[in-house]
Amino acid sequence: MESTDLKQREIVIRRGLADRIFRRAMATGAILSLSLLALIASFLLFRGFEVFRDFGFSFITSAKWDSGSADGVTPASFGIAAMLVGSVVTAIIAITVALPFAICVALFLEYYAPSFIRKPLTAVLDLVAAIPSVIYGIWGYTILNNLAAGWAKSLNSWFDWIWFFKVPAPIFTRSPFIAGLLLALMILPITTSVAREVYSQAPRDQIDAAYGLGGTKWGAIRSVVMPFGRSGLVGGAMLGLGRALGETVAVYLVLNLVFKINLQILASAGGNVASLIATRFSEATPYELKGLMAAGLVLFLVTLAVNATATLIVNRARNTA
Amino acid sequence: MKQRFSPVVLAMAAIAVAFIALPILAILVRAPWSDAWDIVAQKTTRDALLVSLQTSVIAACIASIIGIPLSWVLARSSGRGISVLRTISIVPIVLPPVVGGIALLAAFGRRGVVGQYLYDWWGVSLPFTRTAVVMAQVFVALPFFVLAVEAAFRQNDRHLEEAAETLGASPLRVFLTVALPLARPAIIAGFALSWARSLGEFGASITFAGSFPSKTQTLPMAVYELVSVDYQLSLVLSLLMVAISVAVLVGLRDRWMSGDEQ
Amino acid sequence: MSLVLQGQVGRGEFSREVDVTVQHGEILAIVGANGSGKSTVLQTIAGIAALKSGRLSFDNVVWDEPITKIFTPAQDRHCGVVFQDLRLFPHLSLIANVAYGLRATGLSKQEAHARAAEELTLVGLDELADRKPGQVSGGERQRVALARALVLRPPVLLLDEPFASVDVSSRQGLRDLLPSLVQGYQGSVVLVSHDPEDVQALATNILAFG
Repeated sequence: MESTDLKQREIVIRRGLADRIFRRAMATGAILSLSLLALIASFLLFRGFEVFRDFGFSFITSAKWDSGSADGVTPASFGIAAMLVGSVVTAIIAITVALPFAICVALFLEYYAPSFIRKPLTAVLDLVAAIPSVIYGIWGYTILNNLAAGWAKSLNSWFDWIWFFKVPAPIFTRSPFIAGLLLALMILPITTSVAREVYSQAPRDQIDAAYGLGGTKWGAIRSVVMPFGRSGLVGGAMLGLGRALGETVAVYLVLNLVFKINLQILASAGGNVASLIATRFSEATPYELKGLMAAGLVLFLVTLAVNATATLIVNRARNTA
Repeated sequence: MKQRFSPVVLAMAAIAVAFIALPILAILVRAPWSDAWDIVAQKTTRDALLVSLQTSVIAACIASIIGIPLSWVLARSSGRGISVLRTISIVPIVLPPVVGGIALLAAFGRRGVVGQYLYDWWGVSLPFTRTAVVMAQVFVALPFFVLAVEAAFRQNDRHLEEAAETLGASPLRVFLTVALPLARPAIIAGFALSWARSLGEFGASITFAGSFPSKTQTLPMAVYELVSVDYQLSLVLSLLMVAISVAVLVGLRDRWMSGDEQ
Repeated sequence: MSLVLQGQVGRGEFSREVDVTVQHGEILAIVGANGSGKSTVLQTIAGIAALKSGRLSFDNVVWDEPITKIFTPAQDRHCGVVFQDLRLFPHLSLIANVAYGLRATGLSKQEAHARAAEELTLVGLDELADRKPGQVSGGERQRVALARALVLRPPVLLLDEPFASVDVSSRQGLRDLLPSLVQGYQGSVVLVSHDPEDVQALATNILAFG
């Protein structure tokens, strides 16, 4: 290949000083802020490493979190199994609840809503995405907690033959179920906007064809749009999942921190990794702090994995479109 | 095409809207309106409000100053390396803020990887200061800025930049007189987004800066600290936060929406 | 010898052999079918597309030669270009558009605007100076693009369908104006046009692209 184009070819250009500084400054700024990020991740690993070394795999599998007594009689013991399970359980509840709503809002906005409804509704969704999570926390703490305890009670009375709807004691507030509901609300905007983007790319001609064949609009959506958007939607759901996994304050405010693996979602006990870090760190001993950093690293890796998968799926859906 | 609504979809959409609006409405209803002004005038509230406003504005400015070059480089470079960089720069969006905070602590804490040298050599200790609040907010807000502005730079008409070049404009001049003005709506939007993120930021700043009244305690932290003590107060503070962010976002939204439609 | 282009031009997959020479004061018209690479030739001369092989030089200064890796950036070639899609800056007023190149040469805003105003008068748009490109007609925009290129008195002027949307009445005036202006400073002009009248009225040489 003799032919080259502007991009590939090495080009000799003489430029003025101001331009050289401009280019250099731009590139430096970009690289600096990005390498800072990479560095920070490695700092976490660096600091938390000691704890990983001391506890090995039991850091993940043990549910016991004890910073030990000051005199050293009781040794410290760190394991995040309970919190990890709590993160996953609440996140799964959240996405299970949020997804159907997200699909409907997205379909409604994309295919049904006249523009005088669509515009304000989109604006509201964007706004909601920007509402600080502590506000949701307060709302969950003061209102949803009591409201949803009633729902939880009925769920329990009808379905207590299913193991994870059982409760050890008849207390229904501050449970993973309620935390999950709250998280569902919080991830609704992002899940909706991904769903919207996916649905908006459904092939127009096929929709018109299905519609033209005498079907209803709903029929066209069911036969063309929804199958088309399926994989993209999975990606959107996982993005929401990633967000729910990392939520701190909202979960802390509606959930009791209990270091016991709890799969009974209506029971009043739980916690997640992020709220563990936020609540424990202010009184943490230096050694426990390292434990929290290790916990942070685990959470980081989990969310990264979830999001990488999500991005992959969304991109594939986009490319095959 | 005549509109035909599937009742199921319509109902679900309506429920979702109610669902979304519910928290705010509920807070509005429950808030102790008669005492609201007294509460806002309290020292704790005023201090938290001041700290919040100060840090979030500074953080949004810093995010913009760092974010504009970063977005430009990301938008105007190609190659595999750049797509890796792009991914990295977006990571904090999905990173749990509390992890960001604890990572900042690992890096800049007094015993941190970088922090110990800052302290030993210059006696600088960053954690639990107002600077730390700003750092945590920038960390969390920057990717939102980059996401908005990079897309705008990418969508800018490159033909216009070429035209400017043929008129003898240097890259710096092209950037300042063509690329930047054309991306202005997105820059405003990015600023607003990162500002709103900073204002509501909790996880990263509480781990890296702590919650010391009138020093590092921001509005979200005050809400969090007060909820078990004085829940009326925390309701009013929440409302205050919603009011501030809604006001600014609504104000800016009109501007950037009209900018999009040009 | 003034402008000499010999070699392969092209963008992406497309490429074609070109041999073009334009003397000072000459107006070369390139005619040919759509997709024959006329616009690409202009872009290559202006410096926003690169030669694939061969050499482009102006007054014996090499502008683009892949073998030696010499490439003069567009900003240093000082070609005046009227693009087919005009490419006016939408955020700037008409006068600021015309003054843009002058400002880039280091002229103060005042001076640049004074000269831009003269140029706008020349193309008959002095009254619209403060409008934005989006607020004037297609023909008026085209005249602005012409003024923006001409105000720099460019040694090389590249015109891609420069009168396509100008109404018939002002077209004649511009056809008269252009050669006299360019003659005044002995510029080299390359014109791409579909309009045989343009070609007839302006061109001193004609090159047909197949």
